[in-house]
Amino acid sequence: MSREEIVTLFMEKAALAAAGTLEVADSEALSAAVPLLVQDGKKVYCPALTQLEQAAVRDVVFRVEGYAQADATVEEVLAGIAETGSIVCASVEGRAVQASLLPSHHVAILPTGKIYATLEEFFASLGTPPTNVAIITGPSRTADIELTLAIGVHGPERLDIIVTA
Amino acid sequence: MSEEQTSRNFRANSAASIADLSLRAAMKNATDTFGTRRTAALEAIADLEALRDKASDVRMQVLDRLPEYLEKFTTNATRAGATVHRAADAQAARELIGSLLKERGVKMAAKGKSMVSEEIGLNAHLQAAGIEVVETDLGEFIIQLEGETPSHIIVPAIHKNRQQVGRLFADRLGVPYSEDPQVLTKIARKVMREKFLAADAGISGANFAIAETGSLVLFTNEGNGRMVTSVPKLHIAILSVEKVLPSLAELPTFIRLLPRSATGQAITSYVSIITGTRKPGEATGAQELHIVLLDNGRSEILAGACREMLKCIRCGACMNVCPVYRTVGGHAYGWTYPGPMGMVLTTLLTGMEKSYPLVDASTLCGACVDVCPVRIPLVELILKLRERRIKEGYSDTRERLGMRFFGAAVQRPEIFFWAQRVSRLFWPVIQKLTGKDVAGRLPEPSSRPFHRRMP
Repeated sequence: MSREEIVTLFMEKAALAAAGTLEVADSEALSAAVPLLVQDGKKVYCPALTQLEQAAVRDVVFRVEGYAQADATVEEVLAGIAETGSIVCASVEGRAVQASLLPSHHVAILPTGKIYATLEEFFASLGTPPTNVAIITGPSRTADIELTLAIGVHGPERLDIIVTA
Repeated sequence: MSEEQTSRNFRANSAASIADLSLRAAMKNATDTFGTRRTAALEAIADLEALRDKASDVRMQVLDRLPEYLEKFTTNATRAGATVHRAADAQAARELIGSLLKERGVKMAAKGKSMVSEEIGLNAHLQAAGIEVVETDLGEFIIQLEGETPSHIIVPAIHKNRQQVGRLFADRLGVPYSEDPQVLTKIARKVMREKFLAADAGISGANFAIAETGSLVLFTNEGNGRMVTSVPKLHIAILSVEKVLPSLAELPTFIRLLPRSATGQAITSYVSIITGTRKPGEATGAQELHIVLLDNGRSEILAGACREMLKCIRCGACMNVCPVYRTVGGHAYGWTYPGPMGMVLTTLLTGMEKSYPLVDASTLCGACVDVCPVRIPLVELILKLRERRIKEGYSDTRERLGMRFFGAAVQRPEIFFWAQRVSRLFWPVIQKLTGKDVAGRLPEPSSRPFHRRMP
């Protein structure tokens, strides 16, 4: 599979799992895209550890220090898996994996170079796993009442993935 | 729960379930939906049969060398900061977890869905010891509010309809009545979020334990599994010994098969891989992790003729297609595990004396074998257990006598001929004596036997 095919497959599978997907060309476009996703006075948590994260929240007005008080988390994630449309969050670089769980809106920034075609390729890249690895596919969901799908039980009700070069 | 096993009353339990029309409607809706979703999801896999072979081989490979894999898992989990315990039986596991929590002064524990914890009756034990246990899976939360036990291993409240859940929430939580699953889910989110943040400990099960890395793997959709394993400082995980996989390299096979077989999803919303405790520089993970590996009869199963049962990955596909389960529901089986996998596992784990009527809970149609992602020969196992039941003397006396008489008669044509004539003559009496379970299912003896019709 070419890089382009991998990205296309990833976008298709992520959308099937009810994630919002968006592709931006560069960090300038990223800075413009994020404020549109976290409108309505949402309190935004962003670890701002990487250049992409810093670009993502450059124009976000309402930021908070802790994810526990946040309505949305904006963060760069460890990897993507095209086969399943999943993103991967992990306890690396001092990151709190719960930041992708507690706020009701999760905005994941995923560079195309971090997308693996298959689950096998992702696990081969992982090596010795850090303490907490979460493979995330779409928003939190349940079908515990009459098998009727309901979104947003304990985790985020909304997941947006921004794929960038 | 383990103390209140009612598997011996399977017939009476079933009769009660069959009379409950709202239960039957709920069961039909749920199992039909699951069946359709499962079929559609598996169609997406190019070579499904090869994938099932692989999954079955991996599980057998683990069972063939289980002690070795467990040793390896223990070493690697310990290296990653976990404390690994072995519990020989349900009581040992309950007491161990109870004392771990008591010693640390835990008042409230948030709990993720775990069938093994149901098997050992953990909640009742902890509550008796003064520790509040809050079930956080929506289905488990519903049945905990109602004071019931799960009726399906994947969807514990499968037997309840939305009106019943709406009334339950209105009564117990003091919220306005609603029968919209979306609204009810939001209510549960709010109630449980407070509990999560206040809990002193998280208790979870695990779908797999990875020998090579010492990791636990959990498949969840709601996010509560992620909460209980990463938010509280203390995390206790309980799983049965056979849940080991050799390495993370085998996990993709099970990620492809387990959610598809269980709920018809290509993957669950979350697959969590937890490896030991929080390490320096990390901001996630429990500070203390205890992993309890429960045997509770598994070693004995492993040494016996039904060891393939331990390949089971608890997807629940066998129950969704089982004509008996679909009719009587999960509670009729009288213990933790229902359906085809449940009738076999229950009989093996709790012994024939407590569960012999369950061995009848199958038509031997083989639908369960067709859907099992790890190719457990359930029909073969059920037949083995039926033989074992007779050897152990738990068959019905009338059935045994009838079979002995039949066996003697078919070996002597003259006796068979006269037996047939006599039974035709006394047919109404025989029907009355044996009841509708036996005579009601047999054809009336013919006035002109087959061999007389032959030229």
